[in-house]
Amino acid sequence: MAVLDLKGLLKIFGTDVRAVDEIDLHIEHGELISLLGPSGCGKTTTLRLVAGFIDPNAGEIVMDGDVVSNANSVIPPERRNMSMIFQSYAIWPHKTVSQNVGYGLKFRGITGAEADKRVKSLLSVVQMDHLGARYPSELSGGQQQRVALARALVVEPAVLLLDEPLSNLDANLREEMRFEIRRLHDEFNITSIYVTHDQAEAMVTSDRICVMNSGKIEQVGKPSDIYDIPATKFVAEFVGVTNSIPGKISSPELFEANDGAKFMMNADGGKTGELVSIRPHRIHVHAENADVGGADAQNVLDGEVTRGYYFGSTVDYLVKVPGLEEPLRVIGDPHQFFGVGSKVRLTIEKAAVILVSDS
Amino acid sequence: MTQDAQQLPGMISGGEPSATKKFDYTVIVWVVLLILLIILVANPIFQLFKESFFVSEDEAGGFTFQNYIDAFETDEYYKPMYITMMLAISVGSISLVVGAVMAWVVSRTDIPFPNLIRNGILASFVTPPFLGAIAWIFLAGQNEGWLNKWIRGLFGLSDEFYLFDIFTMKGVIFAMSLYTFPLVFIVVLAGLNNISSDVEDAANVAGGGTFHTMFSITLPLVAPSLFAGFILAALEAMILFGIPAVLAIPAGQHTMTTQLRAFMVSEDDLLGLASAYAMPMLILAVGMVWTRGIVLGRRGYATVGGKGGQRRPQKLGVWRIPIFVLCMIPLVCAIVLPAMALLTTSFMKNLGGGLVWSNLTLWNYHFILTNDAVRESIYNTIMLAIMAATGATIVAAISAFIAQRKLIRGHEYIGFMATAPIGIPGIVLAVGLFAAYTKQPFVLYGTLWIMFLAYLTKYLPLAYQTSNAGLTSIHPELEESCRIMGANRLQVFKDVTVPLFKTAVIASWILVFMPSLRELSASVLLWTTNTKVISVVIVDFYEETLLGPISALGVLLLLITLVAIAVGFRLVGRDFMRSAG
Repeated sequence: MAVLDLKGLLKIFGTDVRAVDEIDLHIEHGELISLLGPSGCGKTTTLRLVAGFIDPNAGEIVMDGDVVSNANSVIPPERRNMSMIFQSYAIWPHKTVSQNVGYGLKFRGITGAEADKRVKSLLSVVQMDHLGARYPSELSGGQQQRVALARALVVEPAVLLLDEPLSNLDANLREEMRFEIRRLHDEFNITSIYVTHDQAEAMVTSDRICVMNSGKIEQVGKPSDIYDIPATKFVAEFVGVTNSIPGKISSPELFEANDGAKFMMNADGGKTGELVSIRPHRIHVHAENADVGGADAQNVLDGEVTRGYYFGSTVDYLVKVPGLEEPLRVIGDPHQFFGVGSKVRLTIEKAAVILVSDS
Repeated sequence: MTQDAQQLPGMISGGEPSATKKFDYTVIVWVVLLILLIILVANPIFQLFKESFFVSEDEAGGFTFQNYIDAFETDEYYKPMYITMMLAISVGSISLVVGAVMAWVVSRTDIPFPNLIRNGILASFVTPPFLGAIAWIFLAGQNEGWLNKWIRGLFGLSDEFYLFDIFTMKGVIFAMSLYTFPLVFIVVLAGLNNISSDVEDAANVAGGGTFHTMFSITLPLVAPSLFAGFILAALEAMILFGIPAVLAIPAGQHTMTTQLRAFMVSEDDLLGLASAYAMPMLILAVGMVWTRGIVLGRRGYATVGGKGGQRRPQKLGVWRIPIFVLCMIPLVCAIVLPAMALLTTSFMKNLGGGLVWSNLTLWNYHFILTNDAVRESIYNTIMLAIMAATGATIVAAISAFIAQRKLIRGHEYIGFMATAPIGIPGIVLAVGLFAAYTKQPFVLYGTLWIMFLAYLTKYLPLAYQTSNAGLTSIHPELEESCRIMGANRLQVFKDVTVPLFKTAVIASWILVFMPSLRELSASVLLWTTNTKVISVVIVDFYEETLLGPISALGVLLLLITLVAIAVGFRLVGRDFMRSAG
């Protein structure tokens, strides 16, 4: 197990592409943190910096108090006691499953019967114990993924790095393997960094999520915090669907949209921002003029349905509200369906209105 | 997680971060590559240019255009150019039609035994063309040709009658086409296989019939491959030496290659004239190869190279068997008949004597295996082929590795340099090498080394392309995953890179070894008494009409080639011939 610290880490490609732009990140013992962001946000570069495949231009990476990378010296990947799962699985096609899994053990002085025992035990953990003699070309994508997991875990690494490990799997398998990765993490408790652009993957697998954009960290937090209390417009829109409403704070508990609509929110000491984010499923739809209770405890808005898609378990509405430039996206209850053109009343709890910054 | 993982020797807990300042090999690699390029390509071509502007007889003569005037003024020298162009266009066109139709049949229809056709094509690819031409003399000579005799016997015709005469320009075109159409086939097949039949289905759904679809959709999509195939076949016809030497010279005609050789073996020193004469060939050939690269490199065709869907074969119906038979005819003419003719002739005392017991002998084999000159040529051939294959493979593998792994600055130019000799005709290269390495301080003429240089230059592009393709298929993550598991660079190289790259390296070795065995067009200008090779001996014997020993040598050459192919299949698998295209 290991504690990792990234301090002011900078990587410049070419002359001026700041792929990783002076980021700071602390990762605890046994924690699984995911780096989440769109392609080109610097998440994979960060991972490869931690692995030691590339050298930073400035800043340092500290592992259990030892500097493993800085601008002047970099410990090579093979001496970091880390494991990595690659996007392409990177299973060696000329070695059998058992040889693949057992490869790393010889560098750790484990050979012979002890090595065989560990390979067998890891293969059974990933439910591949009957396929040890196979060659990779005889395996399905999901099975290759399991071999990659076993190979990475058998050496009991201090840190496990995962680079979009599920992006080559089909949808069903991807869902299954998410839970599998989390299960294995709970079993082995290895400090892990998981790079992905898929927010659902990050939510399911991670203890904490680090959202990245343009080489910088936008927000780090528990999955529920990232989703419920996004710090920036980017985080709110990248993680899940939201309504972003530009405007300004007119008092600590009141936000005024550019076109005039007003939203009450919970005061959050001194927090500033240029937008509010409201998740569609936190907006409740009622019939026109419905009695919805006190308007001082929640936001009440009247509007007209401009679109309503029925999905069986939910209805996806767009509701045009006076005082808002864009219609609100609302996820409603299908048992009470409002057709296009219906007048509706919307209610939004104060806690669902989240002030976010624009950058 | 156990405790010992943290106390592993060599892991970070053990030591200070070590500086990893990498040594920059850029300068060394570039110097080596440039020296190679100068020796193999730049110097010979430069000497060729230089010689073409000097009167050879007279060192003090200085700069002159006289060589060019001599080369292009007289009809005698002008006519071979005309004949060569005519040959290139005819052979290119015939190969295009035969090769493209066969490729379409194999790729798109339910023809029986498509693999038989495919392997037959590859077999005709490795048959030495000059051997095929000689075999066709046995088959289609005016008087003694077996096919003519057979037809005379069949219809009771007089001895005067003949249907085939191989010693004509038609005969030369026929023989050349047999060995150039596989080039078109391979290129067009690759083009066709990259087009998803969804595209064709879409046209069918839109109301186009099978033939309308073929002409309006399929044909335009493979047009680049068709053009590239034509260029390759025409170029091959232009630079072939063996077939015209065997068939055209007895018919009283020279092509540019045979005329070049006539200059080089002349009593007079005609190196200047030969160099000037080689220029149009060099320029045309290099121009054709570049055109082909540009046409094939254009990626405007989105579906070509896209994910090819399932291909749905067209039903040939009652035409299935007749079309199959038609497709077998070129293959039978290129391989089966010549191989049979050579094999039988090699056991015959007298060519006209027929297949009767009293006419059979082992003398031809006894002769080639006991004659010192022949034995030396066999040794030289195998030696040279091994040297060329090893040399080209080492240079190609190392430079492809450096280029692919971006190990030095300027790595993007290495591929261009390694494939620079592509398109230089063997015989032109030989004139250049002769001009460059017959004088002080680098006298290589008269040794095997000058032939080694010729082979190395000629086949380096092929070796490079094979190595490069092999490396492209090794994902860098396969090496990175090895590093992170604890292996250092050297161990990664040993455990992952080498085993995965091995296949391409072996394939490249065999792909150079095979054509080196039968190289003729460069060897024929560079050999000396001590450095004869099998192909040169065959041409020599041909001029002395020693047809029996020729056949025996031909059979031997084919046997060595077959062994090489068998070893290749065994080590690499059946796909290794693919990159030959």
